[in-house]
Amino acid sequence: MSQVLQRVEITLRSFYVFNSSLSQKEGEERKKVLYYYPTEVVEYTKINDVGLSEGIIKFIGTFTNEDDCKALHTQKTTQLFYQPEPGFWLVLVLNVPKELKLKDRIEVAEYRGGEVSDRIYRAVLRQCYQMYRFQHGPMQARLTANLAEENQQREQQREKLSLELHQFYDKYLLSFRDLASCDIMDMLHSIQYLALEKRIFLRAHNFCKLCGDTFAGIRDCIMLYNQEQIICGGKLNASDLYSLHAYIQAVPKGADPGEDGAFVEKVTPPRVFLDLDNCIAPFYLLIYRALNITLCLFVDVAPQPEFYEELHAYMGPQLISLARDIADEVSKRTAANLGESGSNDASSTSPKYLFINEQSLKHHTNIFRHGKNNQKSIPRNVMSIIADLANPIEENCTQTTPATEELQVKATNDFWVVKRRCNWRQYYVILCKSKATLLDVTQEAKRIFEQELTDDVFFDK
Amino acid sequence: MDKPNGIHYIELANNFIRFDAASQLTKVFFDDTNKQIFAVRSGGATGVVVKGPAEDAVITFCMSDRGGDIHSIKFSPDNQILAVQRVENAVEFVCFQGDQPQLQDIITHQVKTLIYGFVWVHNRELALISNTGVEVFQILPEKRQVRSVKALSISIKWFAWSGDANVALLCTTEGNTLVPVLVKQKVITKLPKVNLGNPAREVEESKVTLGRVYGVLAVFILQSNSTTGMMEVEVHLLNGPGLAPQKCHVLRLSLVGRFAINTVDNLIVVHHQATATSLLFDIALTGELIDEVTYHAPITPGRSIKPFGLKLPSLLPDGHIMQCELYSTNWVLFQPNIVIDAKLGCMWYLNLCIEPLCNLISDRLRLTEFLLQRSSGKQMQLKVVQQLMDEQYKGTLLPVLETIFDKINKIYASWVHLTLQNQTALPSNVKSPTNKQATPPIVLIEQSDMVQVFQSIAERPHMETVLMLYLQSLNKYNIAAQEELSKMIISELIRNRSFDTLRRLVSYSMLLESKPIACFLLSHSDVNSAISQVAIDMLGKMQAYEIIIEVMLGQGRVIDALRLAKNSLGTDKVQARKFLEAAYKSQDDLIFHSVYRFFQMRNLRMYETLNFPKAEQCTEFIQHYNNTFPADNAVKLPKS
Repeated sequence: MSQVLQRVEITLRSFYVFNSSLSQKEGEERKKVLYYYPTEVVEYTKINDVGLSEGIIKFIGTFTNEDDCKALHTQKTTQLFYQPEPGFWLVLVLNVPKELKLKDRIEVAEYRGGEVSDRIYRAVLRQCYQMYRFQHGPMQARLTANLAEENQQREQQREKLSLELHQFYDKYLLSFRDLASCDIMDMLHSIQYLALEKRIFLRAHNFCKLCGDTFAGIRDCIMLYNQEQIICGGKLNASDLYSLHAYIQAVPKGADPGEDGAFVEKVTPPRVFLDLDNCIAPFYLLIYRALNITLCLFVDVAPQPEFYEELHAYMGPQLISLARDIADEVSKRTAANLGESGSNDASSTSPKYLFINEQSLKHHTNIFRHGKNNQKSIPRNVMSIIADLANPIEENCTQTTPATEELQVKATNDFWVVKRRCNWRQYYVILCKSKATLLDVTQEAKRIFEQELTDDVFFDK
Repeated sequence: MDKPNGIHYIELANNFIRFDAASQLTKVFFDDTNKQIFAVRSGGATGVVVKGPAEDAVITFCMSDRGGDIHSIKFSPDNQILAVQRVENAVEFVCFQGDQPQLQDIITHQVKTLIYGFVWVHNRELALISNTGVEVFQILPEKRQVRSVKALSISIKWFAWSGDANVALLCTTEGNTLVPVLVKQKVITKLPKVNLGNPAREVEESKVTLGRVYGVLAVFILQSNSTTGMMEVEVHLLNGPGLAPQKCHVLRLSLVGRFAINTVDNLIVVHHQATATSLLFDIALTGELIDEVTYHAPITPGRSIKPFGLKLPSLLPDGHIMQCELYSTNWVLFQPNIVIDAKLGCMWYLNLCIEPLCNLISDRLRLTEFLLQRSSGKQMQLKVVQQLMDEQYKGTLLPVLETIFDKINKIYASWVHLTLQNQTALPSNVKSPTNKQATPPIVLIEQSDMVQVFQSIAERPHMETVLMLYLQSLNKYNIAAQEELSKMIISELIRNRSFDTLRRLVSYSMLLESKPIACFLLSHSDVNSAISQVAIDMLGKMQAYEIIIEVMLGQGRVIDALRLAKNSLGTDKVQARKFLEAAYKSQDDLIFHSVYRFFQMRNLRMYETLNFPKAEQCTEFIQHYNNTFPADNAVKLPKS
């Protein structure tokens, strides 16, 4: 018999960004390493690791496309590769979870590499890039000097990019959430939308449209509730919206705007890069808060002080009244929900569901995330099953026809996962029943689909 | 004419009536109930010409001058009895056959009182108003009799009559009160008196006008403001309980002098002789509210009536044009909108010139409120909306447009709900006791009208916002978007790549859900797969499974289609041939095999054999199956 003494969860081992084309000569290998975490590691190791990754990518490339190198598993690590722009590679190396066990009175480490879901962590890696691009734009755009130009200029640009990556990732990796709790929503980059009555939605939507139409500089306008749920997503594509969402949550609340709305930052509004109509362009992001509403305005040119004042005078009163009505509606809804499902205990064995629209990346779920109030999410192995079942939504994966699927999976513990997919939507129901038959599971899943799928249409019930 | 001071909002209509001008020989009378003008030559002996109300309605006859100047002359509504008053205490009745008088059968009716006037209330009934009261008489031409039917005793100083409301306003001798009296066939009803505020207040006959605005009888009383001395018009509307008159509005004229009042298209027109201008008031517009009385200023500063050129017979080819004197001392005004110049021999109707007026009202919201109450307001209103959407405003007027949409749709909604009520309240087999057709609003701007306006400016910047604002306004008043509007919104959203908005509108069912709309969406699905998703969502909501199945078959998703067909239509109703053909065309043996086996199993269950019934015409596919999977139907692994 072996006994688990200690379990060490998944941790970040290293993360690096490189571009092989930046070092053409021997002896200049350090130049291709644009960023390496942990920074305190000696340069030799950095160059070595990058070299190894280059080798792996090249090696894989002999069998398939170069781009197809996605993950590498070793006993102790899982390495994930991502090439967002030609030549630029991001590599995330994770220490796999391990369990220290006592076997015949000897302490043995057992590595649980199988518990690491490639797909989830590759999506985490992808988001590392997306967040950088959202705030700094594409990397290639920084290296404008071509080969023929002076070496000195190229070197300056390289150093500048490297510095920028350092500034960004040193901070970003620190804020990395507990890696072990990354889940399917991190993988699919889906967001929650606020459920609103149609009249009030239309009001909010038209308010955003009118802001954009009244002030010529405003390109788009996004409205969030409690910085969390999307009310109006404007014309942002799903991945930019996800990045914005993540960005907003990291923005400090600022002074309480009180009864009036207020801009969070007026002096130096942040610049962000959006992919509008397949063209990545910079915008100034103005964040305006009024009660529970956060309004994100994307502006073409650096705004003047008068612009803020005009905007504030125009939006303030309208937004406050809208915010009040939305808050009323939300409280009404939550009250109704509580009355409806008062006995809905959030234990790990109660049925869970997750619905995702692949087109809008809108999700609807009752799975608690990131352990708020210690509420147990679903077991890791079940999450891995869902991650394996899920159809990844890569930015370039625009299928012309939606697939239809229906699957039922029984996990080794008493969990069942029922997946359905149709019309660009994925639906998962997670049940925990020890002695359930296929028929029971089918019926229970059907019941949950019918109960919860109220706004989306699932004609294949 | 287009100079700023050349803008005129009131004109004399072109369908005017000419008559013999008043002179020593000719006397002119006007009956404002029948709108007939009488030109009486030599007391009738040398002819009476009756014209009106239409330009070409003329009656000509002669009658003997029976002595005494004619005081008043009026036809019964059917033009068959002519009532003539020549003395203070008698009225003569001349019966007509066709349009010629039966002069031998004149009935003379004599009373002991002083007759102020008479009005016809029915083809054979006439009300006499005299110093002692109101009496309704029935005329029986066959018996040559006049019989009293109803009488109301009340001592009267003077009276005013409104023909279209059948109401006489009596000024009583005792107490100096103004009492409206409803006089109908065989009935006289006394209504509550007009509240003049001060019991000692005396009102002169010349200061009172009876008119009708927005379907309600109104008593207009001219009087001067006690503090400023400027003239005002008190408007007492007979809309209280039991038609009690209530002082509801005061029109501030800010002028002194002589005034006359007309009503045109529910507007109150106050003519001022001294300045030769006419002021317009609309009591439906907002004003200053003091003690439940609304004080109105003129809609725009006063302007004169449009000059009128009268073409005179002349030897010159173009004729001679004479400019008529406006606001002449010879003018007499009658309700609602009649102007008579007896010296000139002209009778005009006043008309509202709505287009120049629109240029004078700069506040677009007030203009909208104004236009929505005018009978000719619809086209102008649509024009105003179109102007506001013009590119020159760069979207700055969108909030104004939002409010205008609400005003338009408020009326539209009340009409939609009214017609809906009428349709649902009465089952077709039950005859409704009140066969009253609901009257549509003065200006009804429906979706189809708006769609036309939108179409004229499609694909401009801000168009999406305009449409969304209109949709929001419709939604506010619970009106569903119809096909044309829905299509337009879809096109605009697709053009601007606002797929998220499209998705949400469909999920909220804010666009019309119909097969044509869903197919319209499908036809754009090559632009973005989001559209295809939305189209199928809509079909799903309508449970239009047949179309979804066709779409899936078109995409080559035979198994998905079959699955849906089985779930939605039931296994028995799935057509084997259609699916086998699609599976065959997919050139995928696995698919073909699966579909074929599915139908074999179905055959087994339904017909207790694996074979297909002949009627399903599947021979070629049976052949294909047997060729592809030989060896007595054993399952063979597909090649690809």
